[in-house]
Amino acid sequence: MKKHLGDRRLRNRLTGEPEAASIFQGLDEKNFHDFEAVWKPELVKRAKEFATWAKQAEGNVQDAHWDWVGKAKNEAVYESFAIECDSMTQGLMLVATAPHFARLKSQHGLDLCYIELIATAPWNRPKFSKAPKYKGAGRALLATAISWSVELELKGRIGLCSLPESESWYDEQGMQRCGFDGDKKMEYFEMTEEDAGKYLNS
Amino acid sequence: MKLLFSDEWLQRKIASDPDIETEAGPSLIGPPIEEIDSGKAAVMPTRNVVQMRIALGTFVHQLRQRDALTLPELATKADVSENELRQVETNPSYTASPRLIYKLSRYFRMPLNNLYQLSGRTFTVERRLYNEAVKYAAHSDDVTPLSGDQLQVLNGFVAVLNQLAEEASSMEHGDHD
Repeated sequence: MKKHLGDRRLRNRLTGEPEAASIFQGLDEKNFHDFEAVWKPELVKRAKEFATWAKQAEGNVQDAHWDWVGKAKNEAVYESFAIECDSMTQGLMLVATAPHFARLKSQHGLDLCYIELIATAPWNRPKFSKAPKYKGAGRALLATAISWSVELELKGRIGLCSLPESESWYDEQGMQRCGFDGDKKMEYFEMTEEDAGKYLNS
Repeated sequence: MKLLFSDEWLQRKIASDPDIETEAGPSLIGPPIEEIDSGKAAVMPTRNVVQMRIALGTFVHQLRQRDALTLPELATKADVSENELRQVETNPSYTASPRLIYKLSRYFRMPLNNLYQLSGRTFTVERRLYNEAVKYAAHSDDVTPLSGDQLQVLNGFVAVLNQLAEEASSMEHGDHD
């Protein structure tokens, strides 16, 4: 069931002004509709503009294939979150409900929240759009994931695999690189309890 | 559940955050269907995938030799796994990850699409690229230090990869005119 977690503001890059946004736990038909009817056509249309599919990576449309709806509806496996602004879903996140084990030496074997997918709407992406609209959805969702981890008594510990284009973002967020994930074929990042405390209190 | 960050905190962070991508999750591995339809590309049988990967392994190895880098040095500089890099250079049954190909294309400034095809990740390949890759691998199966002739072959293959990428780019530009 969709629950309103709180209101925050995203920055409209076009006007420079903050705009009211709401963060939710659990997705509803509106979020599914926003993704299927608005996000996905944009991603697929843009993906087709690239002469070769490999160039899609450079335009950050790699998630055109993500089955958000199918995964988000699988509530036994994923906890879903959304941020809405201007009556539209501006960011989505899926967190695995089953805790994963941390790999960093300092917290090896402890439970953490594993973020399966995190994405902002196509028009908010600097590489996708020449005039990206809202800024802050990615950060707000990451901070929400830390809040969820604390709620589960996992003390803010989170982990995720980043798309190659986003690795520097997760470095910026103070997450620690744990090396290459052989199964997912991506760089794996973790945030420790200490990192999470610094993140939210900086 | 309580959100442990305030709006004031979010506004402050938004003001100083860099404008870069924030996406995380599985990456796209997809085939260029349109290129098969047009006849420009062909579906690759397994034996051809192996040939392409031999070419890729040799190519990476020789680029590394050209730049006088050890395997760990290249892994560090390109920000890739040393073990995966070794697999790419020596094991033609290994499928390189999209991340490794992306990082190598950035580091060596090689066309991303052509390296993807060489890795065998695409189930199709451009016919010309395949022919050139097989020719290149046949002339470069020796992994001893680069001779003058081998360097010439390497440079020739680099030129072909760049030329194919330029042609694809001009076709893309033409499509949009």
